[in-house]
Amino acid sequence: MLVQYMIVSALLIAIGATGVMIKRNFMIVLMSLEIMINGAGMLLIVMAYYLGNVSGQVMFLFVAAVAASETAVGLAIAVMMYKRKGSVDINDFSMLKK
Amino acid sequence: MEAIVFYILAIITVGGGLGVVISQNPFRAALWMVLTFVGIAGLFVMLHAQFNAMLQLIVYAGAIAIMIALTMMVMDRRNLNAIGRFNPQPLWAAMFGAGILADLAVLALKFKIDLSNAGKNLAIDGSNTKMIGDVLFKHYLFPFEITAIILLVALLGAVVLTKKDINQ
Amino acid sequence: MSGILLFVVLAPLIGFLINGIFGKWTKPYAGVIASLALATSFVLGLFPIMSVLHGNIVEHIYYTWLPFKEVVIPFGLRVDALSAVMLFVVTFVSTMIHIYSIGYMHGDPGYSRFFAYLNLFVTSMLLLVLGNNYLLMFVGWEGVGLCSYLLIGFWYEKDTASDAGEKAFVVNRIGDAGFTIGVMFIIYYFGSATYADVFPRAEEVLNSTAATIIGLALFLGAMGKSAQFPLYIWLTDAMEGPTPVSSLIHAATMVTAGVYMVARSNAIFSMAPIAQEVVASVGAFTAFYAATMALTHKDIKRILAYSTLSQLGYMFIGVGVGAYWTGMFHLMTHAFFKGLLFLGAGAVMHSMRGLLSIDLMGGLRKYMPQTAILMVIASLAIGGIPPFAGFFSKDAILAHALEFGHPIIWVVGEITAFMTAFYMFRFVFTVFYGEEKVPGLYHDLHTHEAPAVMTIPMWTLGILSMVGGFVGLHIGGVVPFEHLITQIAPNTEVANEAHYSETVLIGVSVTMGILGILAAWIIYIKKIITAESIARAFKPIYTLLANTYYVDEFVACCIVKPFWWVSRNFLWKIVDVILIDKGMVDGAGWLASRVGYLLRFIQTGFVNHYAYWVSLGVIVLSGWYIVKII
Repeated sequence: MLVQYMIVSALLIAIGATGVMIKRNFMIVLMSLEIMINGAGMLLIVMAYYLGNVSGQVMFLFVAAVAASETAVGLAIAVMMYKRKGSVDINDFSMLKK
Repeated sequence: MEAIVFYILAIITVGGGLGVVISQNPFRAALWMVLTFVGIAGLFVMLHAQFNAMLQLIVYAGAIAIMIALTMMVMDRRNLNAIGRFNPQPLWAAMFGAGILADLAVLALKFKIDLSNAGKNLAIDGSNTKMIGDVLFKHYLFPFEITAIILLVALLGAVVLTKKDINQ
Repeated sequence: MSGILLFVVLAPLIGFLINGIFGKWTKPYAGVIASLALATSFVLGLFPIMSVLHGNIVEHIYYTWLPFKEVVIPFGLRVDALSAVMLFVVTFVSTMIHIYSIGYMHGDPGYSRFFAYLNLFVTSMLLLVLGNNYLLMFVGWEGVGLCSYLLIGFWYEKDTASDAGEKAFVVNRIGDAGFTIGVMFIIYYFGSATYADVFPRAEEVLNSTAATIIGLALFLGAMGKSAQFPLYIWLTDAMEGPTPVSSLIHAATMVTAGVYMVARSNAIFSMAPIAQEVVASVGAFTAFYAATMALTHKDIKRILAYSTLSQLGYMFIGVGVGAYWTGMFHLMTHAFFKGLLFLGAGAVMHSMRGLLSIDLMGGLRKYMPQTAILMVIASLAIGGIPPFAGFFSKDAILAHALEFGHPIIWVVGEITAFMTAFYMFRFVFTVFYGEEKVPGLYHDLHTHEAPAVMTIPMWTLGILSMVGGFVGLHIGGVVPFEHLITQIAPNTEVANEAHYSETVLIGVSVTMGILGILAAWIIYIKKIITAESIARAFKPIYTLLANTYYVDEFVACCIVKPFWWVSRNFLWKIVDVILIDKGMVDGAGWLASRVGYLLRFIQTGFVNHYAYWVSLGVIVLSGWYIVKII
């Protein structure tokens, strides 16, 4: 079963990455990021189970905390973007070039 | 039996993820995301991580999803829905995604570890929570404190970012 | 004992750090702090010295300093008979000169900087002397070179001073190259640089050619540091530094490092008769050559500088003929009396407001009675008049030169002894005796005796100049100093050792000294023959000597000028301008701008394009890892 679990987590990571790259709506980009982080966190739980070491589960706790912080900041950025342009379409935000 | 449950949960999880990526309406995407999180929580239960499954449900499916939904509520709904589904070059993005998947899948297939400990040492007196508490406060106390600081900084950062009116 | 030994080296280092870092605040007490640090070092140093006098060797290894694959260089300190003598001389003379400097440097804007440098110098010197391997000696060797440079150029606003500092540094580099080569050869042959590994095995490992090469290379280093012909040119210019520096570094301690190093490497030199011959010949030549230049100079510090060169020549005769203990003996007595001479010259300069020419002085005895007496004592010591210290050591060197089969060197040495007595008493008679040459000058300058903080160290050295030679007396069939040093540095075995009557040798030496004093007395006190008439009679020779054989001019036109020409026309105009500036610097800029121009097309500003690049990087890196594990 190990391989199947790992494939599921790989799928989540890949779907998340694709979502980050492919979507135009910044809100959905944030959701994709969450999925990606969850894929990585799931791998920790999988390894905790198969190695018989609870440290992996503890690590997931930290991952969850960091993910929550990241969402908070990401949403703040989204609000800021919305205030500035009235839109959360990332193609309106190509300021990195300037 | 176990395999069947696994495949059902896996399909829910991956399907939810695909739903997030495919849907155009961000509210629907949020619902798909919740579905993914619930599926992951189910998988955690199967992996004897009951505490983390509950955490997953409360923090992700609960708090984070609602935060995202609330944020979207303060925005103009028509404006949100009007944003196009994909970027101008969706094929490139899909290709890179497939590349990552291929890499990770090959790694997963090549991965070999000693499985003799599988499923052991995950609970004290049948309680996974006790075990996590034991390890967390005995071995990972310092990282735990650091996490508190990270959360505080993120909180302050979010407040500062949204408080200032950018246009002035 | 190991802690004590470490603190012998650390005490001056602590003094250096205090004065170097907090110099702004410690200024009023800098001299006291530095002297206390040195006094601590001296007192602590007495413990290992006592142990050595009882026949032990104190050696402690503190940690592994440079672990190479096969060669392991420890950081260890070693006190044996050789380093015990040096330890005593360095810490004792340094302490005296530090105390003297409190008075001499009083009011100088760089007061604390001066003492910081001086303490750093003593640290390096102790490391040089006490290190238990050649590489540690090299660290000290370079450290004292650095301090010498810093202290010669101490008054760096003066162009001559900073130029002199650079000259000392550059000339020393030549010698250091030789020293490095020698050490590399030693590591190559022995696989170690530790004295305890090298010397006992010298006979089995080295053949006579290898020993000669190593000996000559090491001697090149000694020539640079100890200012032997032809690398002596920096030492006279080094007199630009403050007088206590000239006394400590350029007379008593640092310049004798070369002698110590040759004596330390006695096992190698004893196997290489050619190298020994070179050492002794260069020493004898320098002794004679420098003494001739001292005859005509009018600058009191330069007279003493040439005299130092000459005395260093004697020491090299001693170690060169194979009687290492005589070299070390002269090193010790010389540190006492030459340190004293420089301190006396400093006291004269101090009261003459920096005037140096002997033409302006005369009759100073009335104004500076203590200094005058001390200078006479020191001059008697250097002139080789019994029972002063210099007589014993110089006589030991010359007697051994003759007995070990070097009669020519003996003759040269005796002539030099005559000249030494002559120029020293020329100095004493013209400066302290006779009448005032410039009426009213002393009154205008408020010439007065030096303060007690300066005279007390001078008296201490003066007493040692009187009695310091007694360790070279025959006591119950053995000479104590010889007995001590030959444990570590035995005399070279000479096939047909000649024996001469000791009384005759002593008689000749003493006669030479007295003749020199007499000649000076006739010319400068009685004026039976005036100096001017002699100068006129031997005009070409006088001109040559007064211009120090035109060596500086020769170096300037034959070495410095071509060097500049090559630097300017090849290194600057071709290598620097064309290859480095145009080729490498401009080329790198051009390349970067071209690449940047191309990369600009990638910068779209759209966030997801950056995400593409990130994922491409992830794919390539993990793909590379996958390829590796498959």
